[in-house]
Amino acid sequence: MRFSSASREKFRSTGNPVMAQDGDVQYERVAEIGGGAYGTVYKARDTESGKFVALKSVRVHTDHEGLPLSTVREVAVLRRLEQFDHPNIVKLMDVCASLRTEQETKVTLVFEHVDQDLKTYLEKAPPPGLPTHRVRDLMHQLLCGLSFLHSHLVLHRDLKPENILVTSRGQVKLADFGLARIYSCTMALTPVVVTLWYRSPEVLLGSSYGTPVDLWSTGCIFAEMFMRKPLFCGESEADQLTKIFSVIGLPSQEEWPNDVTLSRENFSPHNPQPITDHVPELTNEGADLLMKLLTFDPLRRISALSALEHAFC
Amino acid sequence: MTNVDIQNLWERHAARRTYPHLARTRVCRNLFGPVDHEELGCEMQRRLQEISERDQTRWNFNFEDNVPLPGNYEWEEISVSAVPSFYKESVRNGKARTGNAKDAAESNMETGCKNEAQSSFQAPTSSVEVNQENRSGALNAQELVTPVCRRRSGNPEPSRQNTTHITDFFPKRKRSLDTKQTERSSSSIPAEVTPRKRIRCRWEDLGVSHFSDHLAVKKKRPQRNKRSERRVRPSECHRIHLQMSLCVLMGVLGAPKSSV
Repeated sequence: MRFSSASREKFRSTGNPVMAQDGDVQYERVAEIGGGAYGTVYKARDTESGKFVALKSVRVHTDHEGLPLSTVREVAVLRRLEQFDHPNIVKLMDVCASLRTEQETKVTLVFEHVDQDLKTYLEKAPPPGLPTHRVRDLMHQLLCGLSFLHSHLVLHRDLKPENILVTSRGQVKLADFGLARIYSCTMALTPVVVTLWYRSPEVLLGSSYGTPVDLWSTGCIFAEMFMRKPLFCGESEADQLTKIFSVIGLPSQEEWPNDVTLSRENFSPHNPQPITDHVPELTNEGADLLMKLLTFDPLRRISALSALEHAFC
Repeated sequence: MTNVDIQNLWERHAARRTYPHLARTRVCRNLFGPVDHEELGCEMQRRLQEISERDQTRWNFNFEDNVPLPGNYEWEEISVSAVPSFYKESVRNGKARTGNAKDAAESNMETGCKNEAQSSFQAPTSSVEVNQENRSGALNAQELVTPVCRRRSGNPEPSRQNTTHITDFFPKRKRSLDTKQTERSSSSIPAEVTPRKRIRCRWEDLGVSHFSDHLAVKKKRPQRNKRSERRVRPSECHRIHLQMSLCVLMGVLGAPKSSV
């Protein structure tokens, strides 16, 4: 996976765009990748405060009009949110843009450095898994961050353990939101398969969506905190939906959205199963919250703010 | 504003000969006299240089070449496997914006993003938004949603008296342009393609002629109230929305791109 993207990068070199013919494959030379070797990240310690920062660079293709307006907007949203200094949002210290070539601008985001994400945190957890009180704390912080984003009309849209950072003190910090458009474009560009495991049914079905998508992802992550493995591991959109329906049951025709091309008849009928069959560690309150998060109808799915008031949290 | 005199027209033609690349890409009104593009470009470069020097000093890091410099911050280059994958470098293709959304999910993403950005910046298009998220406004109706959204979601079909639609301006504006055109045609000056016409040409080239159909429907049957009968598919909604945003943008910037 890493190899394929690294090999692709080798075809990028400095200078004007030249089409290099290599058999049947054509590569467009875009620009040299960052000075450092591919696959490294710069991290620094502030000698005054002792705090760590890390750089995340985003290479943006530009035309004669300069940076795309959408990128400028996204950065503006990130900076605006930063002013609130929310404890559960990763700190953005600075945004630096540098013109690399005529066709490319490098936008470097200076973030606070957190050394692990929820994925590694769960992998490191000793065998019986996280105790319920720890899960409760993580969930509470996650929902706090999410309700903050939602109250500012920002959707995360790609919530997954990889972009939920957990500090050494156990503080949860959401990362990677607001730049969603950058990643939606990246999907088509990189050979890396984008995970579908945390995607909500309405997104998988191509229906209209809003903030409830993040609550679905939260539900999947909540289950994963107990299971220490993903709840629904689909290999394709259809497979992901099948796996979801095998647990929550096939929704009724009335619940099925009108604006989708995929019909309900494509899926075999399933009755909802008790969620504790899949996540036996769940308490009664936990099971109730999980079912409210994994509700098919986005309008009936619990909101971040209501979830914070749930008996489990 | 549409009263462009002969001298101006000639000036514009001259400008096009001087800057052929501009002539092909832009239509603009010369409101503030001639612009020294070279000087402007230099000024921009100088400002950018100043900004990046400031960044470089603040972080003692050369962002252009990705090289750490001596200073307060002790930089180290570490493997991506040692940090959360979130810090990994990513690529954004600006061209992807203009491409047609491949599937519904992708177009959804775009709309979603647009909505976020627009609601946060209170873009002037808010009164004419027909995008997806508006259609199903309840989806985003959280407890803390701003009153603007509440109003929009609660009243998806605002009455024409209260809200001015951008489309209201179209037939009127077109007529005035048409009359101007006939007045002008008597003179010896070559007929110029008006900006509005260019826009329309471009849309039709892009295969989005249904937008003008949409306008035509409104123009011909203004008394028709049951607009909900005309079911607009989500992808169309999205496209119409995009086009309307374009109109507003062009109204603000006054510089549409001509067809390629």
